[in-house]
Formats: sequence, C-alpha cells, structure tokens
Amino acid sequence: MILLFLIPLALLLIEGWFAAQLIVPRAGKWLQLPLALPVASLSNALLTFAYTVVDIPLVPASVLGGHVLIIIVLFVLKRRQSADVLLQENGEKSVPLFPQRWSRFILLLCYILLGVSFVYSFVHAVLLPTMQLDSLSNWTHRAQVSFVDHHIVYDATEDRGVAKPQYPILLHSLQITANQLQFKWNDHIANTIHWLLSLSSFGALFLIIRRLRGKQVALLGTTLILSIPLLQLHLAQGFGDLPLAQYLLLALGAYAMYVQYAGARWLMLSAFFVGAACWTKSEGLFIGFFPFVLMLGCHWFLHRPERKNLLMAAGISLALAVIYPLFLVAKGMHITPHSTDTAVQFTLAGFPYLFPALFTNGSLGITWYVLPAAIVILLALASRRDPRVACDMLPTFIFGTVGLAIVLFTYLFTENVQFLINEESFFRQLYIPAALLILSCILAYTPAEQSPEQGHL
Amino acid sequence: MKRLLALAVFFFCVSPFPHAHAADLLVPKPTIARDESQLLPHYTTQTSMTTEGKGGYLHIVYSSSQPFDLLIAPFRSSRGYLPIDLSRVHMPAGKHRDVRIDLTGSPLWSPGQHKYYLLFGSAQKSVDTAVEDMSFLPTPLLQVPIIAVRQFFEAESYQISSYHTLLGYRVLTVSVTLLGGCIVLLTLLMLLIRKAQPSTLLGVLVLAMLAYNMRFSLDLIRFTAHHLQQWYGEGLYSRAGAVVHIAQDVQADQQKHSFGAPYVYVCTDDTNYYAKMLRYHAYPVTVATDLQSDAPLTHVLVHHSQWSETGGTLHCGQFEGTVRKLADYPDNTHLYSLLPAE
Repeated sequence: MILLFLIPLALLLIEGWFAAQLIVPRAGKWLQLPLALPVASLSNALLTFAYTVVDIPLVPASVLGGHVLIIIVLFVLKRRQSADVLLQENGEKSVPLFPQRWSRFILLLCYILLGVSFVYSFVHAVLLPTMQLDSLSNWTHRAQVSFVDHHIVYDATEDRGVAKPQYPILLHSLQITANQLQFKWNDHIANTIHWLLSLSSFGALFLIIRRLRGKQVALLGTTLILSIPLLQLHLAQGFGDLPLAQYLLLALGAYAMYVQYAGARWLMLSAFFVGAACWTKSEGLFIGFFPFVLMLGCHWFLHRPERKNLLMAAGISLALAVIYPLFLVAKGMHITPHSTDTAVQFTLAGFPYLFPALFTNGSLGITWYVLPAAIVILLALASRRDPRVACDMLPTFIFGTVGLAIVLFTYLFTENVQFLINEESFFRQLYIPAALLILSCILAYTPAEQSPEQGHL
Repeated sequence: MKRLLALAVFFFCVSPFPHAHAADLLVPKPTIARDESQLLPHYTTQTSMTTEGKGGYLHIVYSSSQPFDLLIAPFRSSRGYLPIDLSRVHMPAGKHRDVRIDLTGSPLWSPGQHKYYLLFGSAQKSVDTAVEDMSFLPTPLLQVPIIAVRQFFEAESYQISSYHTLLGYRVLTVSVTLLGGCIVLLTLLMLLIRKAQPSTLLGVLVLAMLAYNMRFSLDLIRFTAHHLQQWYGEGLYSRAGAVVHIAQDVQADQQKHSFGAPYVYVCTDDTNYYAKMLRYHAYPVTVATDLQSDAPLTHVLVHHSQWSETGGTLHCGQFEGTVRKLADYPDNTHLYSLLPAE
C-alpha cells in the first residue's frame, strides 16, 4: 500500500519538472529536477485551494486527476516553447575557494556535516513517527483531519484538536496529496513528502550556488546554512518554519541567478517562491514578501531599464501573497493565528531577554557573532571596490536584513514579546533571516577575482 | 617538565578529597533530559530542601531501611532551578551509609558557590530515612579542566521544547555560545592587528561556524542512535513513549468489537502532550483528559498518575469502574478497555 505513494509523488515531480522547464528553460535538467517538488508544491496548494473555494472534495479522482490535467497543459505549453530559449546558460564556474592544503580538509568536513544532517533527518522524518507538539495540532494533524474530511478544515473550535485553522495550506495540501490512494492516513508518507521537499530545496539551492560560484562555495554555503543548530534540528520535519526558510532561500538564490545572468525568467521564479512562502506560513508575508519588494525597489533604483521585469515580479509575488489572506478575511478569520501580531505596543519588557537570546542561547549557536563580522568585512571590502566582492549581489542583503528587523520589531514591540520571554517561537523566526544573510554573504564573496597584490582591510 | 607532570599526577592521585575518601561515589543521572519525565507522581513520600556550598561532591551520611531516590538540581539563578536540570541518584538502604554524590556532571557546576534543590522521594508510604550529616567536599584543582572537557561533551537535552529553543552548551556554568563567540571576535581582532588578509578573516569565521556545527552534529548522531535503539528495541520514542503502539491497540480493539466511535480517557498528571499524541495517532478516535464528553467511554489509559486496580475495578483520576486490562507498556503506561471480552 505504501508504494502507491510513488504515484502522487511521480505526478508531482513530473508536473514540477515541466513547470520548471517552462519558467527557467535555460537552467538545465540537473537544476530543473530538484526545483520540481518546490514548484509542484505551490501548484498543488493552488489546486487544493481552488477545490476548497468551489467545494470539490479532496479525493484521488479530483486531486490526482487535477494534477494529470495540469501535466497535460504544461506538456502542450512546453512543446510550443520556442527552441531558442532552450539554450543552456553558461556553465558553472569552478573556482577553488581555499588554498590547496586546506581545501581537502574543509570539503571533507562539509561532506561529513551534510551526511550527519541527511542521516538525522532521514531517520527522524521517514522512519520515526510524528512527535513534535505543533504537528499534533496545527500542522500534520490538521492535514490528517482534512484528509479524512476530504476538505481543508477550518474548525472554529479545538474539539477535533485542530488549532490555528487559518494557517496557509501549502504543507497540508502536500501531505494530503501524498496520502491519496492510501485507505487511511499514513504518518510516514506525510513526513516523507516534507522531507523530500527539504531535500530537493536544499539540492536546488546547492546547484544554484554551484552555478553562480562553483562547487566548493556551493558545498560550503549549503553546509553553513545547515550549520544553524535549530534549523538543522528542524530537518526532522513537523513545523512550517523550515519550508518557509527553504522557499525564501530559493527565492534569493533565483534572484541572484537573475542578477548574474540577466535572465528575467529567474526573477519570475524568485517571485513564485516568495508567493510559495506566503502559502507556507503567514509569516511569509512579513519576512518574505515585504523584504522581497524592498529588494526589488533597490534593484529598480540601481537598474532602471529593468523596471518591467521588476514590476512583473512584484506583481506575481503580490498576487500569490494576498490570495489566501483575502480568502481568510472573507471567511471572517484573522490572517495570523495571533490577533496581537500587528498590535504595536512600546514596551521594554523584551530587551533584557534579547541579548541572552542572541548571544548565549544554543538555538543559533555562534551565528550572531559570525554573521555581523562577516557582513562588516564584506562591506569594508565593497567600500574599497575590492573585486572580491560582487557589488551587484549587495542588494540581496536587504532580504535578510529587513526580515531580521521585522522579526526583532515583532518580538520587541508587539504582544509577541511573550514568545521571546518564554523562548517559544522567537528562535524559529530568527533562523530564517540568519539563513538568508548567510546566503547573501556566500553570494557576495567571489574568490575568482582574488589577486595576490590585494591589500588588507 | 617530566618532574612537573609527575608532581601533578602525584597530587591528583593522593589528594585527600575525594579520591582518598572512604564514602561510596554515586553519579546522578539526568531525569527529564533522558525522557524520564514526571517523576514526582511515582513518589508516595517526598520531602525537599535546598542547600548551598562549594565543592564538586555532596557528602551525605544517612540511615534508611529502604532504598530511596534523591533528585538534585542546581539553581540556574537566584530565582530557582529548572526541571530540565533535575538528575536522580538511587540511594541504597543501610545504616550510617556514607556516600559522595558527584555534582560535577552538571554543566551548571563550577568550583564556586552553588545552591541546590534536593528532593528525597520514595514509593513507600512510610519511610525511616534520616540524614545524619551533609557537607560539600572540594574538588582538586587539577580535575577542573577534565571536568570542563567532560561538560563540553554533555549532550544537549532533546525535549519537545527543543523545536522552539536549544539551551546550548555550558562549561563551568559559562555558555559555550558566549565563550566561542568571544574567542572568534578576539581572534579576528588579533588578525586585524596583524593586518591579515580579509580572506583569512572570513576563513576564521567559516571554521568557527563549522566547528560549532561539528559539536552539535555529535548530538544529532546521539539523538539518532538513541531514538533508533529505543524505537526498534523497546517500541518507545522519546517523550512520545509507546503512544503509537497504544493507538494501534485501541484501533485493533475497536475493530475487534466493531465499535463505531471509541472514546479514550487519558488519566494523567502530566501535560496534555501524551493525549495529543494519542489523538493524532489514533484519529478519529476521541481522546480526552476529562470525562465530560457525552460519548460512551470505551478505554482508559493510565499514564503518570496515582491509580489503583483491584479485582478488575480501576480508580484513576475522575474514573472509577470495572475494566479489562488490554496491555502494559514499557513507558509505565497501562491501557484498559471497558468493552466486553470476546
């Protein structure tokens, strides 16, 4: 029975692969393949949403039939795609990042650390059952109740154990689709599909960085992002914060591809991923969409001729970001689970907890010592027009920095300060901008331009 | 150099405390951190106190006709201790027993003054335990670096709350995050003074991140091995215990009796986590921690609670009635059915 899971999985992969070929035709199949599941998860969420709006039950015929229909449409569109856009983009750079004697040691270390992440996440997500508290109410449990009901549930009470019914549905719908063809809810399948989404997201991110900066930087960059302890722990799945981070990382990576290759399709893909983040968790709107639009605004300021692309990207992300909140408002629900999220109150209660949270807690390790130092070094190099810093990548810092500012503001100046004081959700939100800033640092540093006569800071 | 080393080893070995001390050495084991949560309901008799002192060993002389448990937790601040820091020592029975309890295993220990919460607990209704003497024994100075290394490799505790926050590592009460961060910043400062290349500075930052991750990855390997061993060996999984198997047994009992809508009452003094786990894994079975539901009760699950069962009659929380035991589980949980036997 469990092998029947391969059918919805195959449909999602084919659909995502075709969609990726249409959106970024020059990316090459090795990059389009890992992009398939992240892209298909968004189309699956939109399909599930459409069924929810028109009240079509979520059963194998409707869900899988809908995906077959989408695949046929994508296939036809793909066939009609002109041949010239199928040309490959420039091949990846292969630049040694470290001196030869260090290189082997550091790369071996990266392989080991990534291997540990892989084994830990596989065992906890695929082999072991669900145990994380929020999965038992907001996330996997809501997906299970929706699967049994054949509709996404919006329970007003917690009688069936579903808390926070306004959560966006990308993750729920992915688990529901993966469980089609099963007689009863299969917990392992529900977690496995999320694990595969993480695996393909980080795989795609690795290949994007590899295309931009070479294999060594890609390996190191992916390892560094996964070196944030709490993010690494979340690879066991169960919460929505990690997929949100994944989509925003992919959005930033796709934006960097746009900057590097001037390929407008990558900017569209970036906008799609920002939209997907908003369908993953409501925080995607605040720490994903707003910083993305600001980053595009900065790009507009620097590169005025590209304003048509930028407007289109902002439009796509806006359209995707507002659909679900508007639906919630129409249903009479608040767009975030905590109605106090947007109620600003000036209080100093959180400040005594902020320093220990950033600099002594174990959730983000030494990230908040390393990141500011790395950013200062890169900005110092950039101010001297050092060729080791890719100045065109500097706007990418806006994404993480604005996201960080919004997280800090939310946890210091709204009633969410309680979640900083009781250490509940603050760190989960904080690792997202941290991961984005690590990626920005990786993208901004270009060892290829290094020359022996370059001076000191 | 060799002489110095020999002298150091000599002092380490012949130091009057604690090695030369005749008292038995007992090493506390973390409780909640190793998934043995909610210990207190197991103790029929318990008494608690606080004590303050300087030293790596708590020396206790006592008499007790029955063995008992001693729970110890160092205070994190003047405000108190955290349950997560509780560790347990099994104290053997005996007259004028002379024991030393090793306090250095906790990362909150350092050679300075510390305050401890102590709880003496026994499953027996009447106990005759009498503490005759209690004092702190000093730790040889040469042992402190070894203790620091040992504390550094103490595992981060894997809790349900770990998904929200990781407490982080501590060495002699100092946060490793703070220590590591300061070392990184000082290294950068030194390199800047020596006019190092920016690539060297960035290299230091990268190596620091990887080094911290190596330490955390060690714990991920530990969690993975421990959870695999628990799950495939005993059918248990961390705080979730045996709940997945309980859910299967409830559903099997429901199918056996062709009963439409089972309703499980979880009798517990714990949080509602176990009930939530059962509700998810047994869905659509109704699971509640109170008996106010209108649905007819079909099962009672006893989990970390005061209870008794005599002649087929179970008393637990709000429930009292005739039951049939379905199964006992290794996490000290018991499932009873109200449905008739076949």
